[in-house]
Amino acid sequence: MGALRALLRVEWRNHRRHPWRTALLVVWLALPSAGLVAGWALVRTVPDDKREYIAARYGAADLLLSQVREPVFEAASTNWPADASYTRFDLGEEVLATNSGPRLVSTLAFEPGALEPKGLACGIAVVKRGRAPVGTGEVALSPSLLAAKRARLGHEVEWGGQRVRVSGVAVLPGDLRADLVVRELVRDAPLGERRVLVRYHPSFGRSWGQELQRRGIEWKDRRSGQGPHRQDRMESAVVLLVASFGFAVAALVVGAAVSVGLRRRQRDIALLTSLGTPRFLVARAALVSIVAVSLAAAVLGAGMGALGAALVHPVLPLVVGRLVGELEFRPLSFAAAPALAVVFSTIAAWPAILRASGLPPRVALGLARPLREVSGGVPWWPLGVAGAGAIAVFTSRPLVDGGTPGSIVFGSILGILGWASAAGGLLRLLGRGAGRWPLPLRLVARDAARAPLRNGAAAAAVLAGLSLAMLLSSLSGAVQRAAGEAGAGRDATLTLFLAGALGMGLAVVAAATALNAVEAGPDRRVLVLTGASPHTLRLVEGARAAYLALVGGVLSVPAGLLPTLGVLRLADVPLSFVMPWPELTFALLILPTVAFGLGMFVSFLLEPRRTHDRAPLLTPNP
Amino acid sequence: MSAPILRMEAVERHYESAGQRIRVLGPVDLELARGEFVAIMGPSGAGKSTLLGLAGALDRPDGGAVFLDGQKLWGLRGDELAALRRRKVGYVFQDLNLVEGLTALENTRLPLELDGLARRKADPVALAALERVGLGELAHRFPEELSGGERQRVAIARAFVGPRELLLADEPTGALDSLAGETVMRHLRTACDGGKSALLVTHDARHAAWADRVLHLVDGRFAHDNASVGGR
Ligand SMILES: Nc1ncnc2c1ncn2[C@@H]1O[C@H](COP(=O)(O)OP(=O)(O)OP(=O)(O)O)[C@@H](O)[C@H]1O
Ligand SMILES: [Mg+2]
Repeated sequence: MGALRALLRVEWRNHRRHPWRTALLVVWLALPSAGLVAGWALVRTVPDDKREYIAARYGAADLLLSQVREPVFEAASTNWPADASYTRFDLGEEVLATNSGPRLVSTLAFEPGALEPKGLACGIAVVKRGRAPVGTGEVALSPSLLAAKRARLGHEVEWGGQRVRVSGVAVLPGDLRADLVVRELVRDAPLGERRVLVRYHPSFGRSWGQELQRRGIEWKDRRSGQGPHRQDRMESAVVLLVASFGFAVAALVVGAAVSVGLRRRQRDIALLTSLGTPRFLVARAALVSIVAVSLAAAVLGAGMGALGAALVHPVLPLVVGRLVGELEFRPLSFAAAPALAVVFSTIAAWPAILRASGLPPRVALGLARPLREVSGGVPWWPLGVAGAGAIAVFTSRPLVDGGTPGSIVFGSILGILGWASAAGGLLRLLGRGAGRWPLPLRLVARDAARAPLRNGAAAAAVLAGLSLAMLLSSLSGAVQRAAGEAGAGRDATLTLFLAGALGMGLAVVAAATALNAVEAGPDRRVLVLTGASPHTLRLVEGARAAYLALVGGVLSVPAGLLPTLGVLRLADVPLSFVMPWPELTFALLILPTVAFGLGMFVSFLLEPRRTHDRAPLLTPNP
Repeated sequence: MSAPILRMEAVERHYESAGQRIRVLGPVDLELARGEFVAIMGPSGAGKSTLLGLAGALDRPDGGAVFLDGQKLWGLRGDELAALRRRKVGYVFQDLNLVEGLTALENTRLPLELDGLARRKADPVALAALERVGLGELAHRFPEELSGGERQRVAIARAFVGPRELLLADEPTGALDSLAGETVMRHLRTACDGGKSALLVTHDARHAAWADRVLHLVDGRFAHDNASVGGR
């Protein structure tokens, strides 16, 4: 126990010595945690649940009478007890002539007070500002109609051939964008269908319903009201998918960071093991450290997510176009975020931990060279995982209730993970086949192949972000085309997402490239001494950065497009595949080019100004 | 006799240390003729590596002048220095002389490739250089698949590949056992017999004995010239 405590103290000191690296890990893991908590809470409030659905039809009443004819209703209600409460409302349509042609407008007419918070019709429509109209000289209009009329609250407008005052702004809770006019009800002049909302009275009994039916009045009980079940399963699955992508990317960063951190301490670790510390203790300490970081990150992220959801919730109606329910957090999300964070980061850190704790001390101390990795050719098992993912995606069938089967989600995740873990093997293959490539490319391909795990992870991070961008872009394109809005232009969120994916890809590539460049330091010195011009050296560093970006970009194409094809298969409406050209261009062309330019530029900045007149920056013996 | 491949005239080098200017080398004169193999010996800290750095334009003298193949090393730009290193002079240090990501052949070919020579033309030249140091068989191995002595021989092959004819070696056998060291020396000797030139810094008198001349550097000055005929 004492030894483990001592090792943990070393780990802790290490986090404090490199606070930025630890902070980076925390941020990477906190973001998907926050996304999961906030996403699940928000998607839950968006679709109308049963309560909202019923409130939009029954208001606060228990019974809804429809197709009411006034004389029949008066006859039926003469026997009602004096304290029975009910209110009439009308449901109709009007045509509004506008510059762009006639517009169909829903009309709702209520009795005075019915829309008040305690009124029976409360919830069928909502007066957001002002008050409900009184008399025939007033109306309440929806924001869309106010805009069409260029009017404001309190203005007079031309409506149905007469001038009326706008007394309020009214909306339908389920569709804030609907064209709606609210009027005061006129008892003897129904505007469309007349309905009556009734609060249940104990004296009604069974015969009461039969009496109404006998007189030809349709009625429904609120309790029998059919409401949709929650429709947020698809959305929740998408949130889980996106969060898992986030965790997978974070895991790659964690793997790289742990690997670098352990490598820089490999002499210390070797000293510890040569002094008799068991290897499993070293591994366990590293593992405890990464689990602690993941948990802390997930808790922080969950808090951020809850806060974020609370901040976003009030403005959500503007985004989704309907009044949304109360914010409801899913307890599961608070458990899932830490669990996913720990699982993903442990899996990612494990190979590095194993390698560092298992390194022969002679190698770790730099007394012997590590053996060259003589590992296999084609990365079969990662490709197998990707293949299994593809099969899962393509063989899944829609659920009976139209939901998305989990196999699509997990197939997509498997696919991404497969392609991502194939990246390392691919880098090794490319490194071996580089014999005929131009010198800079050959050098960086072989260098990248020397650390396939780390560089594979960097390429995989590029892959994950870009493939997700492709998937979203292609799906949204398909939906747009199906809706006949092919020319509607690109969604701003897609562009934002692409920008995020590119930024992330560039950051990860920069980190990995910097490490590769540091490791290739002795080679660079040999190149200088053998007569490589400054320009050649810049080319090498540019190629170093571009190479990882390009490998990640190329792999992102199958990883992004295969799940898209699978999802399209399951759509209720026939959707055709849309090539995400902007994403493809960025993945295959622009990102590598930018990385190349950055690599050249950084190399230029770091260049010693090696003229013979200046002090030497090249020491003959290292 | 043609012009010497390397000439140093009254070369001096000072270092600033704790606010004091300390002369660590010079003034020294040195001439290396074509086909000549010169060894420099001396105690640690005598300035041997400093001298070699000045000779190869890795460092600049505070006084005097250095001529490489008749060209004065003064105020050359980065790309001019690079061209000089590609075409005229090779370095061999105690360790880390090869690019890890390139095979023996590619390492040997490197100066030619950097100079823009097509691979088709460069490969036979590089292979010939490798065969001269007895490594034709191992041309396609990577540095980490070679022994320390073999790596040093690849570095020698590269120093003399194609038109390159001057080798500056700083304790190239320092990390080798005596047998491997002797082999490296024999290949160096053979190259110089074939018209190339070498300036070798060593601590080992048996290795210095392969040279045409042995110079002793003590406190930054040559103690005495010893123009012996080296043992072959
Ligand atoms: N960058 C420097 N700054 C200050 N002093 C230096 C520097 N480089 C070398 N020196 C000093 O210059 C002197 C000569 O160094 P040099 O490396 O040439 O010795 P050397 O003869 O090669 O020794 P060794 O046999 O140990 O390699 C030494 O006293 C050393 O401390
Ligand atoms: Mg020295």
